[in-house]
Amino acid sequence: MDLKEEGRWGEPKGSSVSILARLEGTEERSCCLFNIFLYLVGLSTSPSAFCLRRRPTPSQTPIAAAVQLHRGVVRMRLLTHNMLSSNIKGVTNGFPLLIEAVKVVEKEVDFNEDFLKNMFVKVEWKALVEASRTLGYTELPESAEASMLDSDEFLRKFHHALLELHLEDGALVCPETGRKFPVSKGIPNMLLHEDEV
Amino acid sequence: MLPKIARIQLMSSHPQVYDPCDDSFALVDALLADRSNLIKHRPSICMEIGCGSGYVITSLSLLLGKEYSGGAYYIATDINPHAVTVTRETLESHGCHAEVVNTDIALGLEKRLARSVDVIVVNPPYVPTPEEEVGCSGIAAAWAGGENGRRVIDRILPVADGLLSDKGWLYLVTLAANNPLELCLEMRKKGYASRIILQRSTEEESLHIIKFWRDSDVLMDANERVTVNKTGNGMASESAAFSPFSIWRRGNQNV
Ligand SMILES: C[S@@+](CC[C@H](N)C(=O)[O-])C[C@H]1O[C@@H](n2cnc3c(N)ncnc32)[C@H](O)[C@@H]1O
Repeated sequence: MDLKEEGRWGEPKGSSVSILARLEGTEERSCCLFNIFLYLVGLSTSPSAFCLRRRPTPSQTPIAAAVQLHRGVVRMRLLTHNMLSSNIKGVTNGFPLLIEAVKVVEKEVDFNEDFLKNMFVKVEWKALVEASRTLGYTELPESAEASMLDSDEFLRKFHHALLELHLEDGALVCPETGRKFPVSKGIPNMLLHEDEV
Repeated sequence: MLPKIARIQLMSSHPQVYDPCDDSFALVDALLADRSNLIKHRPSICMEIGCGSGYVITSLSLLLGKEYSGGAYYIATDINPHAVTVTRETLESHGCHAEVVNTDIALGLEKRLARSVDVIVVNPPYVPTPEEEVGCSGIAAAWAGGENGRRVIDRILPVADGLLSDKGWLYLVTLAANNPLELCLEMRKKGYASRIILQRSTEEESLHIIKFWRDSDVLMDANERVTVNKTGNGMASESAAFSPFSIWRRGNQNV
C-alpha cells in the first residue's frame, strides 16, 4: 500500500526500476571493456563468472528483567549477542559479553529449520546457554552437538533462545574490563572511545 | 514476478542520514542484475557496512526473498546513530529483519564473524574531500572520503577481507576518482578476483560497482607474479561473457 503517491525524492528518477530501464548499450559496453581490461592485466581470472582489568562490579552483573510479549518488532536477538565481542585495546578475551537487561521482549518468529542448522555451526553454545538464562529462559541443554538437530524438541528450544528473546534496552558488558556497551531500542552501540582503540 | 526491492515510499529518513541516491540505486541495480547468482550462492550471513537509510540492506533481503528457503542472517552497521535507527525503521516498514549495530565498520563483530560472511555490500563515503571532514559527526561523514575519497574505503577493505567466508562476495561502490583499478590490484594481492559489474555515469559522477571474490588462481598468480598467459580462449570467452546479450539481458529480465 502506498503511503504517498510520489517518492520523497520527487521525480521518478527516485526509482531504481526506471534507472535500470534507462541503462543503455554504451554503458554495457564500457563496463565490458573495463572488465576485459581487468582481465588482461590479470585482475580477473574467471571470465565466465559474473558474474584495564577489573571484574564487573555487582551492579554490572546481569539482572533478569520483566519479559513482555511483543509482536512485529525485532530487537537485539541472542544470535546477535553471540556474534559480538569486546574489541577494546588490550582485551584478550572479550567474549561472551555479559548482558545487563533492562527490558526484554519476546517475539514469535517463523521457524526455519535450514536457517537454524546453518546458524548452529556458527553459534558458541555455552554463550547462548548463559545469555538465555540471563533473560530467564532455562530450557537449553548445557551442551549440544550436531546430532541433536534431528530432534524437533531441541530445534524448538534452540529457535526460541536464538531468535525469540530480544533485548530491547540494557547493556552488553565487557567480561574483562566491565566497560558497558549500551543497547537502546534493541540497537547495540559497539563504538569505542579514542583511548580504547 | 518482479523481485521486490525497497520502496522509496516506505523509507524512513532523518536530516542527519544519507537518503538513497544514484549510488544507492546503482548498487541495488547491480545486486538485482546478479540476483540469480546470489540465490544460487545460498548465503547464510549477509552484511552491509554503512547502511545509512537501510535502502540497500532492505533491498538485499527482499530480492533474495522467500525463494531462498535457507534464509540468511542479515546484519547492518553504521557509525551514525541516527542511521541505524532509520535503517531499523525502513526494515520494519518493509516487513524485513536485519540486525543493526551502531559501530565503526564492523568493530565488535570482526572476531566472531571472521571468515563467515558470504555477502558484504558497501556504499562507502567515497567523495574526495579535505581530510578533516572524514568521520566528522554530521551528515558530511556519509560521503566525505578524504584524499581520493579513499580514507574509509582503505579501512573497510582489510576488514571485509577478514570477514568474508571462503565463498564470500563483496560488492563495493566506487567513484572513478577512487581509482577502482588500484583497488582491484590491492585486493588481488589478498587473493581476490574482481569485476566491474555496473558502471554508471550520472551528471555529477562516474560510479563503478565492483564485485570481489576469493580466487585461488589469483592468489597463486599474485605470489608468483603476474604473467600474461591468458590469451586465446580466455579472451574469446571473455568477450562472449560480455556480449551485450549476457549480463544486462539477464539483469533486465528481472525488471
Ligand atoms: C554513501 S552513504 C550510503 C548509505 C546507504 N548504504 C545507501 O546506499 O544509501 C555511506 C554511509 O556510511 C556510513 N559510514 C561512514 N563511515 C563509516 C564507518 N567508519 N563505519 C560504518 N559506517 C560508516 C555513513 O554514516 C553513511 O550512512
